[in-house]
Amino acid sequence: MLSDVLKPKAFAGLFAAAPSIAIASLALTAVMVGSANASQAATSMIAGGVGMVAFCVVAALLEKKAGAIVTSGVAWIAWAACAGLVFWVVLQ
Amino acid sequence: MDRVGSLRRARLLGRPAVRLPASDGPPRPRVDLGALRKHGPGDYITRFAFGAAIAAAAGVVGLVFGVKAGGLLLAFPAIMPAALTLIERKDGRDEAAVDAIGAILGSFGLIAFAAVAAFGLLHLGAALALLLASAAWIGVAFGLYVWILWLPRRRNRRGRIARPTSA
Repeated sequence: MLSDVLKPKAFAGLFAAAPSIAIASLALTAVMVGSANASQAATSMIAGGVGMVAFCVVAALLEKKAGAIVTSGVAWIAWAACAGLVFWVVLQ
Repeated sequence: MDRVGSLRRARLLGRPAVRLPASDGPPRPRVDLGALRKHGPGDYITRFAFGAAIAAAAGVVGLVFGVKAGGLLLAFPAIMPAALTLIERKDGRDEAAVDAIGAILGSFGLIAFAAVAAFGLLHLGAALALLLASAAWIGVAFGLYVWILWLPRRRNRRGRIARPTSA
């Protein structure tokens, strides 16, 4: 909702990458299985964050030419490739 | 010529030059509650459903493959595709691309959030760690917005205003 009511769109876009799901999930993980496990999950999330940067770069470059559906598909592949690479090479 | 000049100026200032369409308006953030009327309840339900599905998937992956694999999905772009589709339908592809540019900056904030949370959850309490991590997201995302998108456009505007009209 924030990204709809905030202007300009470039500023509203910041909230498309807000850690709303992560806050709730990490809090639940910390309560249910302990802070050390939640910390491990947050460390993996760094790899996911790098993938998210790749997703958004691909989306920004492709959206005008290809439209949202094709762009999302290609950007998801970019997310999986980058997040997976960082996860296996750096964090594993 | 003007583009070469602005790129050189941006390089001298140590800032990347990012060109946004003029339709995006001035960079100062503001609230437009009227925009809520553009979207129906179904649009928001779609986004919430995407978010809930990913939270559930992260939980399931965490249970099956361990918390490390589940943590990877905490930064999965679940809401972005729905947001891009909705913005494209209501405002056009240009606006959707601009939204994605903003999301790039937010993503760097997401990395900062994860790094602070990973450290804080080990050394501080969960509540304080998540509070500090959220502050890190706000600091990095808003800081990058001001540094990369707001200040250069403001400086360019001032430069245009100050340019003499005759020799």
